[in-house]
Amino acid sequence: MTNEDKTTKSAPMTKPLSGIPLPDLDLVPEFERGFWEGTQEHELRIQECTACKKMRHLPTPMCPYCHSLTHQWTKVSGRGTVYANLIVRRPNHPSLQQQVPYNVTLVELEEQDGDIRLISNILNIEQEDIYIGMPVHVVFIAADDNPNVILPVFVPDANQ
Amino acid sequence: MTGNNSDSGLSYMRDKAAIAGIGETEFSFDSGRTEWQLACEAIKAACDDAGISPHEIDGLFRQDAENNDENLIVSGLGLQNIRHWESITYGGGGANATIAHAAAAIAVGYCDVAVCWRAANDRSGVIRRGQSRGSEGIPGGAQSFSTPFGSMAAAHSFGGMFTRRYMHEYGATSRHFGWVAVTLRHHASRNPRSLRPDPITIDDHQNSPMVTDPLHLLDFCQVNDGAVAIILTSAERAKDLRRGNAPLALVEAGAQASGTNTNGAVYRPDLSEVESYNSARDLYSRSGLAASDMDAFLPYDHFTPFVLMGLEAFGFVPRGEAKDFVEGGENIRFDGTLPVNTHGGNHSEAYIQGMTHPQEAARLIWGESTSQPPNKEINRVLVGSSAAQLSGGLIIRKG
Repeated sequence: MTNEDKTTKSAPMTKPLSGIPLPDLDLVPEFERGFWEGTQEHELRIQECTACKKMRHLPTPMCPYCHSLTHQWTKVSGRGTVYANLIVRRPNHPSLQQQVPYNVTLVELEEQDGDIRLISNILNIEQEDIYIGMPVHVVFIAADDNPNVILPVFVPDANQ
Repeated sequence: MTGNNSDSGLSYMRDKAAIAGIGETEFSFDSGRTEWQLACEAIKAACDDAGISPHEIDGLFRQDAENNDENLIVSGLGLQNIRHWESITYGGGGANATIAHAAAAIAVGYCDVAVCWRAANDRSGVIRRGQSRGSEGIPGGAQSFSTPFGSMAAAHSFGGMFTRRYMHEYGATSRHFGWVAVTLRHHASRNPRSLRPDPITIDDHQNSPMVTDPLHLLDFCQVNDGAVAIILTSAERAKDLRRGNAPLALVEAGAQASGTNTNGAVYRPDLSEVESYNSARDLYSRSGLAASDMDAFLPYDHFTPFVLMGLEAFGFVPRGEAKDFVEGGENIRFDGTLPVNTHGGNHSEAYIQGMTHPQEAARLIWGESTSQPPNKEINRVLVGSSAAQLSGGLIIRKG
């Protein structure tokens, strides 16, 4: 754990960040759309090749394993662990001035042996208490600036 | 494995081209002039250093962080007859590649006088590196999965994430990175071109504000204005030019590499393993050389932790042991066992997306570095890659 001042912890994030760019669901390409359709139904779905059945993230038009062009969106458990975590203390976007410190966290989903990793935020925990390996699960929260965009963010599992 | 191996790959280009001249503008936080002018000035300075007219340039090698396209260089310098040009992607990741490709082009006869350059008003310009603007919708792609979560800069992406995993895997701490910062500042303090010439202590580093935990302010390289240019010719031609009586700075080998799943920067299988492992493999196999053949190491220091990762990836120390090697700074200082970034690097001299490192390699070969190692002869310099994305490395040797 690396924190600047171990005696002063930063307030937990309680929701995603606001005032920053979001996906424009009208412009997102077809092969990515299933992710955001899933979050709108409060499901975490990952792109899965219908030919070889491997999942991949980031979404791609073609399967990087077998090169098939057909895919489906498969619901995953939403559970994972923290793979790497950062605490942003100095903002680089004007809207974030009042929202630092916040965490940017890579979450490794439990499926497919660590192949699937998402960038997200961990809510409801002081940023300094986030640790690599921490078990988390997904929750779905509408973006402040566009309620049609439902963002998958994560919270720590109970009983840690 | 040392010595010439004429059966190794790329023997057609090995030692065929030399850095014949280098030039740069002043480095500043506001150049007060266009990037076009900066480019012309740096290229003219490099030509003067080589002892040629810019009109002799017939090959252009551009890394794509550059806003000036080839037309501006042709018209700005009155170039007469460009016979080869290339734009290489990934910004700093393409820096070393411009030198390697220029050497290869010269070796096969695509051009005779090559210029590699980079001109940037990164500090005074409208779009500042690391700063985000606007709240427009993202039309998909990697950004749509990163920006909404506040990952909006290199430090939030590969910079911070590789560092975090590296610390986790090998036990390196912020303080270890601090020794790199201290040493780079020390080198910069001896370099009149530097924008950060004031020495710092390890406590200064540790007390500097935390920008993106685990990266302190003094772990970041600079954002500045300036331009750099490097002229290459054949080795034979270089002997007839202004620096012809000095040792030649020959391009011995180049390699570009990536690894897998590079889109979006943080989805590679193992974020504690930088791209440089791939560059190193090919650089060494192509040249038949090893880390023990290198007398100085110029790694891409966008963030100090990547100096540690580079020391390991290029085989100077075993994995996980760079933290001990840099402790105290003595080993990597210009008068130590393995001089690192004797110019002060991106971190303390100036950040021109990796183009100052091949310059410094040439200076070390010529004996002209502002921190020329006093205790060892510099026969070979390894210029390391930008580490976390498609990028590459370079070996420059004394001819």
